[in-house]
Amino acid sequence: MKRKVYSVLCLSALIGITAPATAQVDSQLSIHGYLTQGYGIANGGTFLGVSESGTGDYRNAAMQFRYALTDKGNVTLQFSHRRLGQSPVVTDEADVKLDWAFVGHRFGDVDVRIGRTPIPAGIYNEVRDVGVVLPLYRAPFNFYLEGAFTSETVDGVVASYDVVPAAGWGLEFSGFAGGWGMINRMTIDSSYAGLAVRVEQGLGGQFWLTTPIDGLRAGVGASRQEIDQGDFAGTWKEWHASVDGTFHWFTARAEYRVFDLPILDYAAYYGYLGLHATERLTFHGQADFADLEYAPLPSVDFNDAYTAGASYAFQPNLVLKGEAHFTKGYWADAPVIDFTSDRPASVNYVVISLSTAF
Amino acid sequence: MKVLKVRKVTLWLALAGALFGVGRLHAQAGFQVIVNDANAVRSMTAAEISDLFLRRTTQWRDGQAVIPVDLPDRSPVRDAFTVAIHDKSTAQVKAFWQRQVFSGRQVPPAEQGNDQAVLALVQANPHAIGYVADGLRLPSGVRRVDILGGSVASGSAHEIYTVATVDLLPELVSSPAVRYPSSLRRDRIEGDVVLKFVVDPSGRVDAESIEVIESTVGMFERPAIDAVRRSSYRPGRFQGRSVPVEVQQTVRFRLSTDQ
Repeated sequence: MKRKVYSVLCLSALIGITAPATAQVDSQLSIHGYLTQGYGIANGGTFLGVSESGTGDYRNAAMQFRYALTDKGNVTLQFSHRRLGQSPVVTDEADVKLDWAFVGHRFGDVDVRIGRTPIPAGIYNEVRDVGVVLPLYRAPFNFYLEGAFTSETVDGVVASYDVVPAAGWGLEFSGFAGGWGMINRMTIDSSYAGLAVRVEQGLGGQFWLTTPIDGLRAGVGASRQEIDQGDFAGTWKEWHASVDGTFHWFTARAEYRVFDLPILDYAAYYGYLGLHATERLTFHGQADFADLEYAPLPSVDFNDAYTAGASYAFQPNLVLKGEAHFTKGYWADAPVIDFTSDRPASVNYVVISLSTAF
Repeated sequence: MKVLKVRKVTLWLALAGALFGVGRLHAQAGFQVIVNDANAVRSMTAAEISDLFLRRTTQWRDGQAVIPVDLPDRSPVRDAFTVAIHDKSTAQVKAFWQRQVFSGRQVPPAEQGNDQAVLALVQANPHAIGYVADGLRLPSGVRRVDILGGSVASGSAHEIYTVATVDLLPELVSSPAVRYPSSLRRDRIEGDVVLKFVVDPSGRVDAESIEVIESTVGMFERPAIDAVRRSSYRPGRFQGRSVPVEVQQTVRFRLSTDQ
């Protein structure tokens, strides 16, 4: 019943917020928000809450309040809501949580944000829940690991600096330091459960190089963090590389990432191609892979995912998407399988979603 | 009953139009960029205006905060402004702002409902900059800004610098081979063309700014302009920032080197 009430509220909001919002120029307060409502149904098991019986309890939403303290400083709050069906990673997640709370200030060419702040990592980490920005319902799962093992935000400080080193080139450096909470997905008594852990001494950075070819950029980044609970306790190290090309007729993206954990190494990589048939209609294709090194086992082909989809932007802030995912590996919620002994499971699922933002 | 059906059909058509953007098939519109009369800025490049509206530049040269003002995203004047100034569609700029907003970096300029609202705001605020339909009569206290050309969104200055006022001069990085007119080559005629042009903050030559200052033979002018237009530079710098700089360059046509 509670979920139904939320669905109704969200759908009402969807209709309400698609009307263009016009802020007053003399107002220091700006309000923005987004909502993606999805329906998913799977075949062969359950993948991140999408089950064989189907679920409409699938959405991301947020409201953001930004107050300009001065022309260089602001304070920003964002509240978010996320549902992933019955996925164990959101079982203990509050229906509405404080997503961001930070004070930002620009010192010359350096932007500094202090508080709970989005982590700049890869192409999508800062916007991984924003349906109108993402080409598909979610950022590539093997790489960004929605719901577990990663975080969108840091409780600490983020600084970024832009520079133009030469004609047509651009360089952006972002660094972050602090801690965050996250869920580590565990297998307990033949079922999956989420274990909330706290990360401390998180430290990372990222470079983006913008090239003279309009729309083409490349980036590298790395981070380290300390976790003192559960099977994955210890020092985590991570690095990633990204290429992002957004052009008139197509968008091509690829990223590669390695997690070096105390007990295993996890590598993920994907390639994405979007063909812009018209300004509104885009066809999407994505191949997303994960490999695991867990001694003394040989390298495990942990998860392969292929996605085909299409999106139609009625307006830039109202996008309808349909996508089919074909996965084979060990990331499914069901069946519960052990990568050290069982064969990988094939779970296919479809998600239809409508995204809006203002 | 028929009336009801017609109303229903009209309603559905209106809804479909709103969703699919049928109503956005506007005629081409022109625009003019405006500032308050108290603002010292008389002219800017397209790139500089783009930076102000994308909030890459947030202050005027006197240190005051820039207040950019947009028209609604359904406005044909905004479409024209966006294509000419940002070299992007309104949808692409909206996508840029969605990413900026929801990564917590920046928020877009406030929108005013129509030209009159933009005029009133710019008239009342000495630090505001906006744009309205071309040809619209401007009230007292509001002034049109000349657009010097250039469409690359980078840089930060608000005026064209000269070689005497920058800290670092633009430096030629690459230039194509100059085409030697065949008739002049056959007649073994050599010559020079002196050109004046603006190197924008991205290091590209603003094609609209190229001007012939001096030429020994008229037929050398076109190949000289073509060569300069396709040249790239390391941009001039002032106080640590890339800025547009007006420079002069002599293109020499010599039979020995074809330059």
